[in-house]
Amino acid sequence: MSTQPHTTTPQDRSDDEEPLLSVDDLRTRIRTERETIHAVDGVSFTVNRGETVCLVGESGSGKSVTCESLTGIVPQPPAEIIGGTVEFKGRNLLEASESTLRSIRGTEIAHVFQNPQSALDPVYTVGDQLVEAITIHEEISESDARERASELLRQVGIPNAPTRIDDYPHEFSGGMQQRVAIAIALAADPALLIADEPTTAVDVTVQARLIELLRELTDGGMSVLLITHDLRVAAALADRVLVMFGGTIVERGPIEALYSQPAHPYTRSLFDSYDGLSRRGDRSARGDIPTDGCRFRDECPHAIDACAGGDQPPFYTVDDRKTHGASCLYYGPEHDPAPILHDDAAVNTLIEEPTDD
Amino acid sequence: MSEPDDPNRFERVDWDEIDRSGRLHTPTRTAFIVAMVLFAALYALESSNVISLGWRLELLDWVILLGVAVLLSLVVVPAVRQRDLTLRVLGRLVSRPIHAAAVGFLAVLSFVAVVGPIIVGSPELAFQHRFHAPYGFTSEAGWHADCLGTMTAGEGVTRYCEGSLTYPLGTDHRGHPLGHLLIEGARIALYVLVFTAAFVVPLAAIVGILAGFRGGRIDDLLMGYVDIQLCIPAIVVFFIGYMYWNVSLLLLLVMFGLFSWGGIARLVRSETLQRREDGYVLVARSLGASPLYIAKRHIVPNITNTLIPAVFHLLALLVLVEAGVAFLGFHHIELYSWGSTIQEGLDPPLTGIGFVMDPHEIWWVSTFPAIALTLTLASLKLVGDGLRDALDPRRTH
Repeated sequence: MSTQPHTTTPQDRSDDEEPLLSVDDLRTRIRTERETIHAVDGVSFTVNRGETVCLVGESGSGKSVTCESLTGIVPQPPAEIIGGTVEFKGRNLLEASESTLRSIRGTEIAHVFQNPQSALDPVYTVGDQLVEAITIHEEISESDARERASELLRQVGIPNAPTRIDDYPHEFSGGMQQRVAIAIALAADPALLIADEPTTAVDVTVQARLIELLRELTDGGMSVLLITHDLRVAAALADRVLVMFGGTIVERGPIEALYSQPAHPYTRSLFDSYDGLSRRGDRSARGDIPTDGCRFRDECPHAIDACAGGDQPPFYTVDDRKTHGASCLYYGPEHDPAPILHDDAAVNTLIEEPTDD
Repeated sequence: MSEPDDPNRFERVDWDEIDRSGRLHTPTRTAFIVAMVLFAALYALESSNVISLGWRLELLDWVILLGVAVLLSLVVVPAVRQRDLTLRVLGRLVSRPIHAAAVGFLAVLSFVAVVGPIIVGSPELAFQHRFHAPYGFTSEAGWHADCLGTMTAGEGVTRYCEGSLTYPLGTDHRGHPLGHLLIEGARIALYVLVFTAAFVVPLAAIVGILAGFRGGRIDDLLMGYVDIQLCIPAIVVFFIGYMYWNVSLLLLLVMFGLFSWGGIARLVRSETLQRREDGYVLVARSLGASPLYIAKRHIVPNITNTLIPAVFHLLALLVLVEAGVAFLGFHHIELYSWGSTIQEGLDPPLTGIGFVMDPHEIWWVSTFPAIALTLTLASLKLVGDGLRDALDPRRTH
């Protein structure tokens, strides 16, 4: 494992460029009859134009709620966005009216969801649903829309698109359904694509091809916010990675820096889990996640008294790379991160070996 | 906004109709408005005697006419606009002989109910021809003043006759031909169907979808009301109305119509609650669709497989209820419902004045309306099931 700082990262961007999406201190809570869950608890990040940002974390860490809060499609109630700003192209989406949000959804920010089987309405042909997605914001004739739909299907790699356009979703395989779902998301040519675990519900071979498709999109200059729990998917696609735990982001950084030197203890345990080294039990075996201080402290082998109380620690730079930050006191001025970095051999080879083979 | 969600619209929405903000002129809405304006104009002109239709229209007829206008604009206009789909669904519907027979029966029933009364007019009293047996049978009670068929036996005022082709289905105690009474009964059944389909079903569907889709306080309020309503027996309310107003079919339709939609509303709500969690609803939201649009385009078509059989069940139920109430005698005396005819066949009115007559001696009076009623109910159920299957694209292969 190298602890040498990377002198350059290709993802370093000039500071003067206005980010496409800038999320600041986003908070969403979910109220149930028994309790209130702070699903998103002060999340801040940015997505630049043409950049692919990957949100990784385990199930229940708040990834999906974060993304659904951005455009307000998280079901309210039970969810409630209680604070923060989501600035997209200079507009604060959290203060926008519902009709403004509607005009942004689909055309500016589109979503792809995890489960392709339920993402398509079973009673309409895929062509109908594509035409729906195209015409929902744009007044064009049906024949033009169908032509676009056919083109979109071809673009996402559906063979025989012109004939398959009149098929119903149940006549497609899971991978093909996800391609259609991606085509629907792309219908209005959005500036930002939010893909929520797009490769999770399909089998491994199909996953590889979907990653290939997503990579074509990201290479094509589209901004993508990708949610995944799979570090290999992130490795294949991301420019930057955000690691999420307990509703907060605990580490962020360019993919190469973060993968070569995972800094936060949670990130390191996440990498360990890939090598079968994880000492963490199953989520159900663990207690509740703390709602203050460092959310990971109960499971952290390095936790100290200072980890409790207050907010999630601020981001401290790792190895003086300002793009790589970890929300861990050990990286602060008063502590030395050496115990974490030398804890175990959290070396990962994921970055060197992209997944789709 | 208030356009009722009609359960028969399905699958391919034509793209002009996609909900764009500020877009009011969809063909269905236009048809609805035109139908309503025509209806209002007709009503105004007729009731102020500017024009005469040649026959007197009761309030009931106006209500049914309004129902026809509603059904035309909300079901027929979209069906014709999407005729490819309509034809495909119809083709699937009649692909099974039993469903085809049921559709055929309902078509004949509707046709007879509309055209029959115009051709044969109102039944007239002909006591001299009472209790004629159907063609091919012989009367068992000697009540005939005139024998139209061959007289088989007779002595004094007692005559036994064979049925004749003048009254192929026989006559009742007033000398009304049974065929005539069946036509009148069919008209009443059609009234019940039109009223229910045009007013009760949209109400139930809208309330159910609203409650399921909006949730929260609206849901509590609507479903609370439905629960109360489900506790009140419609027949009691009908009898209360019966005490204060003239008995009429309209009273029956309104009372039973108002108190019978709760079940469907609950069903629609629970289906809506499930459907709104489906991925495609979230996808539609993520594409910027409005709640109304999602309800119309994604919720309604996906609950049809529950809604359609329930609707046809309600239609059958209300036809049966009307017959039952008429059987009990709480019907308008000039309306020859199947139920009242059955009752008159089972309890011959002449027994009250000292004559003894067994119901089996005039079996045809109760049997034919009972057959018509049974076939109607069975057809409604079958068409409901068939339509559900035909509308489900997953069953096409």
